[in-house]
Amino acid sequence: MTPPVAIVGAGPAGATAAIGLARLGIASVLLDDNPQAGGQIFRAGFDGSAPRIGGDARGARLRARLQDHGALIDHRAGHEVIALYPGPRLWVAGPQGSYALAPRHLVLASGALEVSVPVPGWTLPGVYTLGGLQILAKGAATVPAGRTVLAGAGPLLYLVGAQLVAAGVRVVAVIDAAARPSPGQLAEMARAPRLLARGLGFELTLRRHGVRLLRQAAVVEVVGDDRVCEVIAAPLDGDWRVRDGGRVRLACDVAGMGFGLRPNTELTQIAGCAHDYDAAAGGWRVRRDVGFATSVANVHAIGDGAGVSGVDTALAEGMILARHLARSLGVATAAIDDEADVAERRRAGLAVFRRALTAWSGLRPGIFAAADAGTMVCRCEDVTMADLDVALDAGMTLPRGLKMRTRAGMGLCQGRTCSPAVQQRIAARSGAAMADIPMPTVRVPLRPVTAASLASLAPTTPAG
Amino acid sequence: MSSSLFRPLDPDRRALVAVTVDGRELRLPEGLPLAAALLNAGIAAFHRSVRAEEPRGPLCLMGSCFQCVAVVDGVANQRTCRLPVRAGMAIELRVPPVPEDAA
Repeated sequence: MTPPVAIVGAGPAGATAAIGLARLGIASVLLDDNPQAGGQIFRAGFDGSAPRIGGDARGARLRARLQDHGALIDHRAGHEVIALYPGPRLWVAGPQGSYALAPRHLVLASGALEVSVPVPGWTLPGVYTLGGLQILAKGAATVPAGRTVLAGAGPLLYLVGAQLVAAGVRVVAVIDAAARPSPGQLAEMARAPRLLARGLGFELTLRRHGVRLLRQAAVVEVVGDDRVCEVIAAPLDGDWRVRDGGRVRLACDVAGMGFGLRPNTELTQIAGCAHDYDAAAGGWRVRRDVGFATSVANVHAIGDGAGVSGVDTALAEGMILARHLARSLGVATAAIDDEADVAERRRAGLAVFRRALTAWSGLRPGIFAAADAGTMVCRCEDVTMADLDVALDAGMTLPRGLKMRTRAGMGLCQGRTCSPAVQQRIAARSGAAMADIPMPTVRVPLRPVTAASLASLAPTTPAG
Repeated sequence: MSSSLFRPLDPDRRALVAVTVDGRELRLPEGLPLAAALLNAGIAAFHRSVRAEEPRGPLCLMGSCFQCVAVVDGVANQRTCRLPVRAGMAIELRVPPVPEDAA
């Protein structure tokens, strides 16, 4: 029997919602594609052990509480949603095959994706997202063995840098596209003093370890034969467009590159929810009312997947949503009212911090001009910038047309990696606003799935 | 090509099990995500891209980008970042060579 609530994503938002509901006696199924709960930020070792670096006591606490409430929370690790239909009705691929779920309420807490910016050579083995390096360290106790360069923008750049140097990794340089935060931005960030102190602490750790810190600069080329051996950094202007001169060559074995996060909208898209473009939240995000309900009945969205706003906001939204859902199910909420009230206030307070963080490090479009004609944009289908430009010149001005013409976004990852770069290229060439360039359509199945796995979805009525 | 790619944070006390990579035997820590185990063994490229046939390796390590895919036990497009190492796994990368010192 399907419990009244299905939650997709066992990160801080989804897991907190499940715990809040359980405390009110409401059962839920908690689906997650990872081996352990916690999402990316609270990722545990793959075998459930505490991560050797980058551990967070809140993650361990969250996992313990999920277990405590095991009677009401059916946490299914390693299960991926492959399709979503009105109702809401879900198709899920699990280790033992695929199955359907029809909960009364569906909560989407699918988290964020890292934004990659294509530059010449970025497809070389040895280039990872910043989050990817962190996942290897936390989830598999695996760290770069050689010289490492980290580049991009945003808090993750400093967090990963500090974690890696603390683990003894030789970080040669951290290359930040953003300028130093302005005094005004720092004053706004100081509204969340603990978070600001943590960020400044990362920078101090980097300096103590003698890491070279370049600001208003970016990796404009990755050099290597069949593996990274060097990156070339260049200075940027205020729009993050590459400036002439000032090239710095840095020999390295591993490069981590990432330009911040964007909401993973594939589930809210396939559910048919309305979306809006909000640069401050990372790009396209699902439209929500004050109770986190989307435009589709009984479908709710919380956490970074509904607009990138960080772990503290995600934790708050999980608890707030649990109260909203309980009310709509007619269940008394006294047991979590105090915590939900605190969460409401905390979430409002964090909004100022987020705004300053975005003003400092939010993605600026000039950086997408760092690619040259031969740069691969879509890695799955080997589509270059020149291929995109040919299609754009032929009048394809929407991601859908570009996809048909070039196959960009049609490969295994379904455009999750290249869609920001494709949308930015359309904007740069057509002069259209990002808000006027729709997201590429999402298609089922969301992940490749074997026919054998799908077969278990077939109606089980015995043949006559 | 095996020097200075990735290393385990601690000496791994996990049992090593035999797998084959393009027919050659390697001993990898059981249960570790295959992508991490291969990176620790000095292997950077996991497949060749579909049209340009360039060597490609993991990017996001969270199941999203599909750049870490390989043929495992005859099944194509397996995301090695999500697949734990098991004894007897047959991994086909078709990106020679497997480094000498990783075996």
